[in-house]
Amino acid sequence: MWGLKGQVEGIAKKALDYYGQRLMEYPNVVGLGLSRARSDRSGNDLYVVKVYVSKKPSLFQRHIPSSLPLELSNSPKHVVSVPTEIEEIGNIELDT
Amino acid sequence: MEILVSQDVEEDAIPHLIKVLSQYHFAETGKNLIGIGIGVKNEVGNPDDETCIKFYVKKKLSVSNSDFVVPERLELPGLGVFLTDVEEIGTLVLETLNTRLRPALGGYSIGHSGVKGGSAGCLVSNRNESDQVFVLSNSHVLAKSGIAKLGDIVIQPSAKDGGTATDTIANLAKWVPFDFSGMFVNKVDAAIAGPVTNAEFLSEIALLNLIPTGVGSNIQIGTKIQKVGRTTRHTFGTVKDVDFRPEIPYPKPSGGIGRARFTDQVLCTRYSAGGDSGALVLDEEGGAVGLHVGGTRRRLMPWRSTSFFSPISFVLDELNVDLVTTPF
Repeated sequence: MWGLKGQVEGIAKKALDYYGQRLMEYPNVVGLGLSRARSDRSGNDLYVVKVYVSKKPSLFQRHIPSSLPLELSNSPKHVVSVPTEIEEIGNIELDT
Repeated sequence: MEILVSQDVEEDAIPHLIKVLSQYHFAETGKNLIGIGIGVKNEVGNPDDETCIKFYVKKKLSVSNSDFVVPERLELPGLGVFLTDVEEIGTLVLETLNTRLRPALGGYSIGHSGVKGGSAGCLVSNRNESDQVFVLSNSHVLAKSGIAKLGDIVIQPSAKDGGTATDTIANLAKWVPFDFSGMFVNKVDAAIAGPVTNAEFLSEIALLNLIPTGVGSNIQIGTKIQKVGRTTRHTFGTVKDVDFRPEIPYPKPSGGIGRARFTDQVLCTRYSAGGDSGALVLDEEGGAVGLHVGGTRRRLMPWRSTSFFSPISFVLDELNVDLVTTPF
């Protein structure tokens, strides 16, 4: 998997579960999600963790990490890295 | 003023005729003229079904009462001389979904009397007593985001559209409370009002003229979806993210504003605007896939604007209801 952008969906989702609360504490973050990045050599879809922001943070604000390290439960010594991708979508509003 | 084209005209001639008609100035014909077009004059004087220039008016007036009399024939530069015809078609009215309608339909304006309101989603029935039918929409549309009282009146059209207590259509029956713990555990923004009778509500979705066929197939990134809502009417979107976890501010029952975190929502390209909350989201085959909630708006970069919905399976399970998929 190394050198390829993204991880299989199950691992990307685990990173989303594990880091979700902490990612929401970064400036301007309004939501999280998963996005398909590309496929690996076996044709499996690979995913990145999406960080949706109302506005991209300025240089002086805390930086959202570009990747999220994750220990695999079936192989504790094996740490994989799930990339993050920031997307500016604006503030979330109810459509009343 | 619109240019209307009859299907009876030779296809090759249409682009040329439209081009020339578009440049024509019919200002002197006054406000009675609401459209011009290309068609066929259906009368004895036109036995060969010759193409004519149509003048569509609100009301056909006698020559003596008209400020402008349409000539019997009109020369269009480079195209020749055409017969004309004046046809009365009444006033053009945009079909709006923000008016009172009985029986009402999915997509029409609705709301708790104490909120601006949103859209009616569709009809659902109680899983335990299937003869009890309710109208489905968002909690923030029907239940004041969970701070309303059971039995409160729901009006159609909504207060934003001038509805009052005399427009009561149902009573608040159930909603899914929000969890403000900070965990991503909220799954839906949904409520039901009723029970309703078929004199008050039908199972069809306005403009589509269809009844949801059931729960739609699995959606994934790239799936095309559609909805009918009070404001933007019938629109389409494309799914961007099926694991969307937004944080949304709502009033708390204990007072103040809380931030509810949601899991497994569906983020799409923008398909909505204010007033569409509660609209049923369908796949291209007419299967229900979600209940519209809200979105983001980027005025300077509209292509980055989004809409999102709660998956319909969560909505039905949390409210313990089923979709009404037959005529009601």
